[in-house]
Order: sequence, then structure tokens, then C-alpha cells
Amino acid sequence: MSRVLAVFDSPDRMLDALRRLREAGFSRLEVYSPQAVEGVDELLGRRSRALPLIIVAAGVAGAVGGFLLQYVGMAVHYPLNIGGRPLNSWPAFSTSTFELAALAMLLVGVLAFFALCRLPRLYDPVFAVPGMERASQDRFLIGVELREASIDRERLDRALARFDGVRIEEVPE
Amino acid sequence: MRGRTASLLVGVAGLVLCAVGLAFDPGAVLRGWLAAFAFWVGLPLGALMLLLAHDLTGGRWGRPAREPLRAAAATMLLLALCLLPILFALPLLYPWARPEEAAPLKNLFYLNGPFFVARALVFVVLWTLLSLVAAWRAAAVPAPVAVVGLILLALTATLAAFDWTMSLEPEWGSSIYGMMVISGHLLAALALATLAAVVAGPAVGEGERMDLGSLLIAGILLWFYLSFMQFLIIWEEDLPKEISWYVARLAGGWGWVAVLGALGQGALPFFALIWWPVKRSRIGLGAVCGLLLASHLLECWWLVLPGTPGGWTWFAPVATLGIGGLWAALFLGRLKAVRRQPAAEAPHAAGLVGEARHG
Repeated sequence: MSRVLAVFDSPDRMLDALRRLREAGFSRLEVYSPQAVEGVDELLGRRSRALPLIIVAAGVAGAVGGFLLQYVGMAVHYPLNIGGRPLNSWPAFSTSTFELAALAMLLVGVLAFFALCRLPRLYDPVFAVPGMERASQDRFLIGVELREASIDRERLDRALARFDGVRIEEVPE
Repeated sequence: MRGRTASLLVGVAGLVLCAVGLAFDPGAVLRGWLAAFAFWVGLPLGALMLLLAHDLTGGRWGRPAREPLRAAAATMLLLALCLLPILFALPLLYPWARPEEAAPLKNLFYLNGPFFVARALVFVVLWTLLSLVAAWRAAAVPAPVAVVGLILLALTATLAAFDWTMSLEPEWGSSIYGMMVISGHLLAALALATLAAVVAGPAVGEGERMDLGSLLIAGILLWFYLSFMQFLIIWEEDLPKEISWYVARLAGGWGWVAVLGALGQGALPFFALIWWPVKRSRIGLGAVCGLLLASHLLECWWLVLPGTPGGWTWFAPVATLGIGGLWAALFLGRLKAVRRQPAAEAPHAAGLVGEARHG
């Protein structure tokens, strides 16, 4: 199994090539780009449905936990009469409840995002490809995994033939 | 055309009922009229602010929203006329205009008949002039005019909210009140523009609709934040002369109206819009806009009616239909005229520049 990188200089050409590769039957694809390109997620079939649900769950947990934290403290364990207000002063609790919900969503959301992106990953053979660093500057790269090197390489060249000037790099094993 | 005739008929019927009511219970008619006016004046006022803001910043959302916003802002003249009955009947509405009740007040240097009327005239004349500049011409307003206009609008709309509805309880004051009312205006105008964009059909792209949906979320958050902060601060202080405003507005049926308003203009549309299938579907987005407008109407009634000695009156819905019928006829007519105009170059170019700036 070997990998190659196809290097493009514009997101539109990369997207076009990605579509062509999908049509040609390549399924193990990866995109490296300096910015999010609309449509890539759909073509890679990688629209995460889990992340929004995880974040909503974290928000609900944070809100319930934040409210109970204040309720248990103020109304159950240390009931104090403050200016005649009810022990369960929910309007006063609401800002901290909101803050804790936001905090839980942020922390869990970032961690879940990293986990779903399989980060952190300290080394990947694609890092050794010359010019890879420009994926974070101005180049749009498609990584293709070839299962049967010679046959797939031929199909790949045919699928990308119309993109003149495209550079194809081998990823070292 | 049929829609305009029908609205015109509803409007005239409402006005006739109000006129008949004046003979029997002028106080009830006028507080119903003020409650209705507080709702309808927000649409052209909010639309004017959004138009000027779009002239300055641009953005894709303006492409479908500018036409309904211009049509809504063009109705300012009608609302200026609707203010007149209130100006002629100040003692029927405002305690500070009744000598026997005004005697203990310390803020009469500000709250007195002539000054109030003069301020009101300055506000509506300024707003009407701005609407002539921004809404009746297709071209974008030059940036200096838009900047000065927005600053003046923020100041005058705040003072207008203090004057027209907050002074119903002249002992009570809240510095957040003006911004809270303005955020309601903005939200209602944006919901109206989004509704028009949804009704316009598939001609409006999904991206534009999603942008409007995102802006609605921002509007909802702003309104909810300001409204809740005012409540939280006053509730925590619990001072007799401040909490009385909420006591009147949370007692009995008005408490349920407050809950409905918080749900219908806050929680429900917020959670509906952050769930992207709703924001993406035309029916979902249209339903959210309808809910926002209906809840905003409730909020305006809730701001005005419990603060008056008589409380709820059936003249509130009657006057709402009366002003609203005329308003809708004018709005639909202007919308048709605006849409028939050849696509103006200037606002579109401004939109493109704005996008590039945000890009």
C-alpha cells in the first residue's frame, strides 16, 4: 500500500479533482488545505454528526450541573436569608448556570473536536513530502491511498490527466 | 393587489371601531392605540437602522433583505401620522400630564406637555427624512449620512422609548430600557425581512437565507440579554419604586404573557435556529419569523398595557389591526414598487465591497 499527494494551487481545481477521483472509484482520500473548502466534507463523506450532539449534551450537563451546584449550596446545605429573597433565587443563579454551560460546551467541544480529527498526531509520513508545509500556506493537497500500486497509479494518472501542471508526490513509507 | 385591498379593508374597519370606541371609552382606545403603535413603529424604525447598517457594512444578507427593508422603512410617514392621536390626548394616557398626579413628580422639567410634543415631532420628522433618503431611493446611502443617521437614530429611538412607553410610569426608570426596546425593533424588522425573503421563494439562495437565520440568532440573543439583564438587576435590588414595574407585569395573566414572550421571542426561536435543518428549510425559517413577530406584538402590549390604570383592553388588538391594515397595504404596495425598480447598481456594488471586506 502506498500513498501519493496531488498538489493544486487553487481550491476550485482541487475540489474538481477530488470529485473526479471519487468518480474514478478512489475511496481512501484525504485533503490538506490552508483553509476550510466548502464541499470537501461532503465529497470525503465525512460530515461529523456526532460533534454537535456531543456539544449539546455537554451544554445540558453544564447547565444542570451549574444550577444544582448553586441550588444545593444556597437552598439545601447552607440556607441563608439574604434580603428576604427566596432560597432558590433562580434569576440570580442563571448567569452562572449559563457560564458553566458555555464552559462545558467549549472544553468538551474542543476536546471532542481534537478526538474526532484524530489529533494530536506527532508524526505522519506525509510530513516528509517536499512542499507539504505549503498546505498551511497556499497549496491544496489531496492524499490518495493506492491499494494496488501499479494499477491504481495508472487510474490516478488518467483521472488527473486533464489537470495540467498538477504535481504528484510519492509519500515515503 | 387582493392582499392590499383586504389589508386596507381590515385597516379601515379597525379605525372605524376605534373611532366609535372614542365616544364611549376614550382612555381604553388610546392605551390600545399606544400599545399597537409601539409595535408598528418598530418595523420602519428597525428597518431603517438595518438598512443604514447594511449601507455601511455590506454583506450577502442584504441581497434578499434590502427590498423588504426599504418597503418597511418607507412606511415611516404613516406611523408619524399615527402618533398624532397620542399627542392630542396626553392627559388620557400619561400620569405626568394630569396636574393632580403630576404634583409630586420631580422630573416635570422633562416630562411636560409642550416639551414632550416638541421632542416627538423632532423624532418623527428626523426619522421620516432619513426614510426618504434611505428607503425611497434605490441607491445606497453615502457612508457619512449613514453614520450620522445611525447615531441620531440610536439617540432619538432611546429617548422615544423613554417618552412614549417608559413615562407611562413616570416614577420608574431604567437606563437599559431604550436599548431593550430598540433590540426588539431590530429583531422584528429582521424577522419581517426574512419572512419576505422566504415568501419570495426559491429565487433567494440558501446561503442568503442561512445568513439571515444567523443574524436572527444574534438579534434574539441581544434582545434576550438586554431584557433579562433589566429584570435581573431590578429583581436583585428589589427596591419598591423599581420592582413595582415588574409586579404589575408579572401578576395574574400578564405573568403568563411574560413567559410566552420569553419563550416565543427567546428560547424557542433560538433553539430552532441553532438546529440547522430548521434554519435551512424555508418553512422552518418562515415559521420562526412568524413566531418572532407574534411574540414581539405580545411584548409591546405587555410593555404598555399593564403600566396603565385600566390594564388590558380589547382595543389593543382592534387598534393593532387598524394601524396594521393600513401599514400592510402600504408595505405591500411599496414592496411591489421596489421590486419592479431596475436592479440598482449602487447597493449591489456596496454589497460586493462589503463581502470582500469580510471575506
